Amino acid sequence: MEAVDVLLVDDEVEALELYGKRLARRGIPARLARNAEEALAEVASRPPDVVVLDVRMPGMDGLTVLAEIKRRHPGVQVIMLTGHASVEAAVQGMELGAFDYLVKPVALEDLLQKILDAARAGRG
Amino acid sequence: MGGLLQTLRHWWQGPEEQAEDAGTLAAREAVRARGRDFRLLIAANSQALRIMAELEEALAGHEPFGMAWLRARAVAVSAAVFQMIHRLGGLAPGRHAGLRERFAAVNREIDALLCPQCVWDETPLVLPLSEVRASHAPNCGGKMAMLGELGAHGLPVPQGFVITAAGYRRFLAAGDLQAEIDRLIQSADVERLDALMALSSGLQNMILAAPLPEDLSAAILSAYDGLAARLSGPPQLAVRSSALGEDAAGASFAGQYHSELNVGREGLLDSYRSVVASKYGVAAMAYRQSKGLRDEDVAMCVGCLCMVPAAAGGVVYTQSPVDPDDDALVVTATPGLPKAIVDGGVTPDVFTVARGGEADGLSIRSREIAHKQVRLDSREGEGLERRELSDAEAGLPALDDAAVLELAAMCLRVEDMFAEAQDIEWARDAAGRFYLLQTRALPRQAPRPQAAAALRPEGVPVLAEGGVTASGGAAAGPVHVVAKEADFLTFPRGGVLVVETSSPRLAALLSRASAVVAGHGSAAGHLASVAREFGVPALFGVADAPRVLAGAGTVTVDADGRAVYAGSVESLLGAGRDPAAPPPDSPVRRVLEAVAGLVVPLSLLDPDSPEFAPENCRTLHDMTRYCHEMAVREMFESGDQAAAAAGTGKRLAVGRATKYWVVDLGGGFLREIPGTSAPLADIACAPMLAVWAGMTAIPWQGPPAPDAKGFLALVAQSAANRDIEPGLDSAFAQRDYFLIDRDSCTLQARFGYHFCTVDSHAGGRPEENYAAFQFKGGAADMRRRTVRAELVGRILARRGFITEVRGDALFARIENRPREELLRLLMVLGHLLVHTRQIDMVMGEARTAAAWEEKLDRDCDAVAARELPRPQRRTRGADTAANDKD
Repeated sequence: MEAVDVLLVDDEVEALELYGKRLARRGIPARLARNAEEALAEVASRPPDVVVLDVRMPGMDGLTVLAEIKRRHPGVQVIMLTGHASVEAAVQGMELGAFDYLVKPVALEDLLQKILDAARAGRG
Repeated sequence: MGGLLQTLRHWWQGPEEQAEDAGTLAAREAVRARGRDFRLLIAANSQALRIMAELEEALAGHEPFGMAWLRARAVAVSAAVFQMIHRLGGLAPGRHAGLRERFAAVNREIDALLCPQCVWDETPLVLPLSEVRASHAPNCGGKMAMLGELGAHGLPVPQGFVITAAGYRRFLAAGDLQAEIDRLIQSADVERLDALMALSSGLQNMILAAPLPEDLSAAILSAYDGLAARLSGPPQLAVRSSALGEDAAGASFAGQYHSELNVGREGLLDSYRSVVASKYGVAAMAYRQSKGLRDEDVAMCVGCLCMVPAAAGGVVYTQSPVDPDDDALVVTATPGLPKAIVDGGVTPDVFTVARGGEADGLSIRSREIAHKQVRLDSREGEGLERRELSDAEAGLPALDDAAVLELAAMCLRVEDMFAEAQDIEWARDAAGRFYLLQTRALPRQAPRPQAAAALRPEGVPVLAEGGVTASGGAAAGPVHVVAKEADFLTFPRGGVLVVETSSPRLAALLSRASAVVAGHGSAAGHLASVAREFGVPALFGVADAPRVLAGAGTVTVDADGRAVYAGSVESLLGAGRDPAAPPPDSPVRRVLEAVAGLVVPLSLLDPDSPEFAPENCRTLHDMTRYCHEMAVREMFESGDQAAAAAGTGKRLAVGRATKYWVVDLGGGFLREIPGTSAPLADIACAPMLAVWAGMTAIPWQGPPAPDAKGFLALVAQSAANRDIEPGLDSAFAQRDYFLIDRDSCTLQARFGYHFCTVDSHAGGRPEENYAAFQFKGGAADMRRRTVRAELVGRILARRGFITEVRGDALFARIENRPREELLRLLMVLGHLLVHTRQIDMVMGEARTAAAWEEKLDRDCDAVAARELPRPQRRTRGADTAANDKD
């Protein structure tokens, strides 16, 4: 069976690699992107089921990346994950089509469950 | 093959028929889209309710939490509510005006509570200590404010100046340092010690590397130069923390922040940065978290005081810190700087001075002259040096009796000034002049049920004895020796902390420790102060503690009896310590209460009343109620004919009509079903059939006969408990309904007095399969409802569910199972839905509850073993039978 295809996007490389390893151990191998450009390139080359996307990144910010992804690949589900606790950003994100908006710290189990829910919603 | 036939069919059919197909397809897609919106709205509703349950748990004080947790929960619940509003907008575009505005308004209020305070004041960046008074605490910190007040009352304090809270904010505002700090703190999982340490290190390094703004540097150096001009030459300074919140009621922060001693002009700015960075030391962060103090409320003010060339120094407690009935002063003294005592490195001389004696009414009641091995002094230039004492010096009292009494009298004046017991740091120069370096309120230990001198338990091996009671009480736990940094990370919760030196750094572990045993130190040290605040029993000065206790396994530390026993000695152990929730009156707690007040209360009750409108939504819970009610109406109202036929609810019929409604979101029915009734035989959704089979496998015998208490509880609860008749459900929201497609099913139902949601997907791919179950409410009192929730949780946990009980609410979930296994678990859920009805009424007696649990467990096994219901073969309607490709 094909696993859920996940793309993690975060400019904090350590956090990115840590989440990536932990998801891989749970049977969800994730692709990693360190900035907006890498993320959009990954999505273009092979659209994932779910993107987990940091809101605040240098250069093109997460909300802009979200809008771009949804414009080109509306079926891709995007979960915003950020240390920036802002309802305004959450509202903007969801109006742009984000599946959900999570504020760190997020337990791995909760993130995993959100990824699976998003994948189901995308396929359903 | 299918594609070819499809093409032929389209060629055969005329354009009108193709158009009709397109029209029907469009209608079906519209129904699917409505179904998706509705499903996502229901899921968001569950999420919002779950987060509200977490906030209620935190309010009840059962869980530790901090501002980062609270912000994350607040955003999560707001995001979930917005999702509901967004989806309702999809179901009913352009209706429900005013809802978004109310949402924005409530969130502005929540934001205002959660955002760091930005208080910009016009006070100077630096103030001379001679101008500081107690009222300056909000800008100078408690420590310097108290010191300034002592000086103003004619008590001897060193000269110096204070870099104020305004100066601190000036520093952090430069280069966006504060914003970056906030972001790092929010992102970290500070419950884990390794994450806390990494965060601490990152934050401190950031501050140490940050340049000081020019005006702040200039003000600091100018203050130094002014001091030098007044004295006979450039002074050496003690650069000391004086944080806001430090020394506030119940929070001593003893030793948690950094001080640097013997600092000259060259090193002054670096020392300032070091002290500011120490705000983010591991111990300080852990301490703030456990005290419910918010990071943004703690501004690090810094006092710069002339060093006293100390011949002797120490600490005075104006009353006993461990015995609440003893008002004798405790004077500790050591040669050289008092830092040696407060850092726990030496065992000092201890004098107790009784009130009501000879001169000044004071007399020395006891003297314990310690064998002091080292002294700390200022080094030539900057910094400190340790010097070992000769045998002759080691045994000499650091103070003679006359000096002890003089100091005690001075300290009593301080106690009188503040009208409460004080913890006072002092130094005496070679000429015999005393200086007071710091004073703060002395937290006294509350009287404990067990008396100070406990009896020795019989027949229990004593592993170590002696030392001094630094913090009273007794506790047991596994020994964990901390000798190096790495030992911090492996410290187990409830462990007995065993160390050589009672360093203040160890305070980071106190919220996790059951007791502390140290080879050195006294009741006067910082670690002792913090141990007393946390109520952690602590025994210091136990010779060679790490060597003696290493590998001892579980031990009992009797701090009052001054002994450590092998194993867990029940006769010594009292009630356990409360979980480390923030204290009831702490700033974090107050924010939680205010935020919860905007989230949790439900005032929108009667959906049929004209008041049930967006403008009357006062809280996020009101909005979830409104959205849920309106969404259900959208799904069950008969709009246009196509929608009525395909997208709205039909009543489930099993021979006769049931109270359940079914909404097909696509593929849930075996055929197109006209009319408003859906026979069970036409259901294609295997998960729904499984739940239904579980619900009906064993007929419900009716409510259990309650015990008298249970019945009375019901009567009382019915009258008073809004949860039993929550919000006077309208005719719409009272409907119990299944949302189905071929492989998924969501059931929302009310059984008796409790509410359930079953949500599941059981398809061909195990990794996508899951079942989630949510259950809340009941007729009995909260205790019985909670017992029932826990009972059901255990039954499900035994079958592989991950379960969580919050009050009377149960959340259970299972993932990643093959289809058949999941369907059998759905049968179990169906059975539990029906057969836990009203059993909360009989959960008063443990035996009865256990009997019910056993019965339900057995019945669940029996139900799960039955033959799985299978959907009957899918058929087409008569008009498409000719095109059947099967």
